[in-house]
Amino acid sequence: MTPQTQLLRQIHPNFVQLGRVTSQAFRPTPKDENHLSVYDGDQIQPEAAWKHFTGNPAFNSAGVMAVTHAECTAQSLPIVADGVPFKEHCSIDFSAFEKAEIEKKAKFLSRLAQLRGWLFQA
Amino acid sequence: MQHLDFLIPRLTGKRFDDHTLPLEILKDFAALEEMIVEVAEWKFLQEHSDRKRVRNFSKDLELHLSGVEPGSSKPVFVLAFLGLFPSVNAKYFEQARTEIISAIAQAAQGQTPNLPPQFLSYFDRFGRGLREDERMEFDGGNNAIVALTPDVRKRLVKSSKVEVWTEELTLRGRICEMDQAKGSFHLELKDGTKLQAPTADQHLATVLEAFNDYRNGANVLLQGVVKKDRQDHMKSFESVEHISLLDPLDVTLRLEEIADLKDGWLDGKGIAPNPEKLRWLAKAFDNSFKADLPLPHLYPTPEGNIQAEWSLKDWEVTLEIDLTTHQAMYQAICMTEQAAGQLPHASTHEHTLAFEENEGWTQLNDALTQVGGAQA
Repeated sequence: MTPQTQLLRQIHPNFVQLGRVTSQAFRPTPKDENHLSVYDGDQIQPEAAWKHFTGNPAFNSAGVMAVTHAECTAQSLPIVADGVPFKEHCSIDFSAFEKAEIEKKAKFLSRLAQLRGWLFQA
Repeated sequence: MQHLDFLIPRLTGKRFDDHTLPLEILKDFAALEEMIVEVAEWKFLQEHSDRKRVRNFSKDLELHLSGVEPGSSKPVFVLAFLGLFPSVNAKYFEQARTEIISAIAQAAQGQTPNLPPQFLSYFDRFGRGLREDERMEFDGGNNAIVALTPDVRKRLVKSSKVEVWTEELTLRGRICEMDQAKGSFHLELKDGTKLQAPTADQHLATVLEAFNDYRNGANVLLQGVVKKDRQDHMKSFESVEHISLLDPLDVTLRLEEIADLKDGWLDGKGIAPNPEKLRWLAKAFDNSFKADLPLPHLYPTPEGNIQAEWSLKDWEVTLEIDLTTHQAMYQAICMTEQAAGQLPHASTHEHTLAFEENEGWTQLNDALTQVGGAQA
């Protein structure tokens, strides 16, 4: 992984209104133990990541957006290349921060991802 | 003309709080006058069984609005007449007033009104202008107050045995069909119901624009009189008073979409927001959010609440609204400082707002204006 590595995030359709994505899409829930799931863009392309994700009929995605490794590091967010439950899986670790701080970081990541635009749209 | 005090109903509700009378409610009183005359003739014929019909019954007798008293709004209706004394028929007008107030009281108590159905059908127009939180109170005698509410009015109309009745409604939807030759169009509601409506000349441009933009999801807000059947199903628009194109970010429309979510909406997780609570939020936004501020994007949260978001120049703003406590977390952050990697020192505004009180909405309006939300 390099600073330019894109971390691919699946965007749920209910998190999109008139093309705009909520910052919630870039914020983990407490149930996720404050780890946000992403795909390692060095290992898988956006469309393939989308197909892999939606291959599970219980999961839904309107498309794929991304932030880079460097953008997360600038926010003091470590990237964990855990490879679980599949080898391209990574986590952005928000666990060191309180809710308000997590929301701030999510806003930042969300704006950067939306400036980059959709990498794949269903 | 001379006159006698005849009827002083008390109107309550937000529209009447400043002791004035909206002009549109006068249509209801015009219908009441027609009903009083009809009921008075019926009372006359009951007393004169030898008569089959009456001629010039209401000659020289008219109901006039003489003023509006405070508290909340009390229109004063007088029986105006020519000459020094009212005609002998005035007593039937008074009997008619008593019969009508009794019918309202009986319907309010869940009883079948004694007034014959043909007279009750006037409640299709009298009381139609009342909104959800409004009522018209009458003196029922012996210090009793008799209240006509939208619900009581509906019971009276149902007792009238009419097949079709009407209601003043404001609906959102898309214009899916238009027939210029017939001068009509169809409003398509979110549940797929299509209602035909007449196209008045003054609404033609808006109807055409919404029709042409149908595939892009253009919605309109339509206020008018809707015909309903006895099962309360909407059939068509009898008339259209106002029509306007809706902002694509219309809050009520978006919250109605979110109300369709079911538990598990977020890949098996995610609590569905409560539709009743969403209606509260839609109403509160409509009443209290400043009109010159940009509307937010709205999203459900996994906890069953709503997050409103604004992207305003360099600012990203979120408002996480707890639909149960009516409290909200407001956070605004300046992105230029963020981008420069100064997160710990970036300008941030954070507040807890209480939307149970108007003050919470005022604080939200002020906060958004402060970060550049006000539009010229």
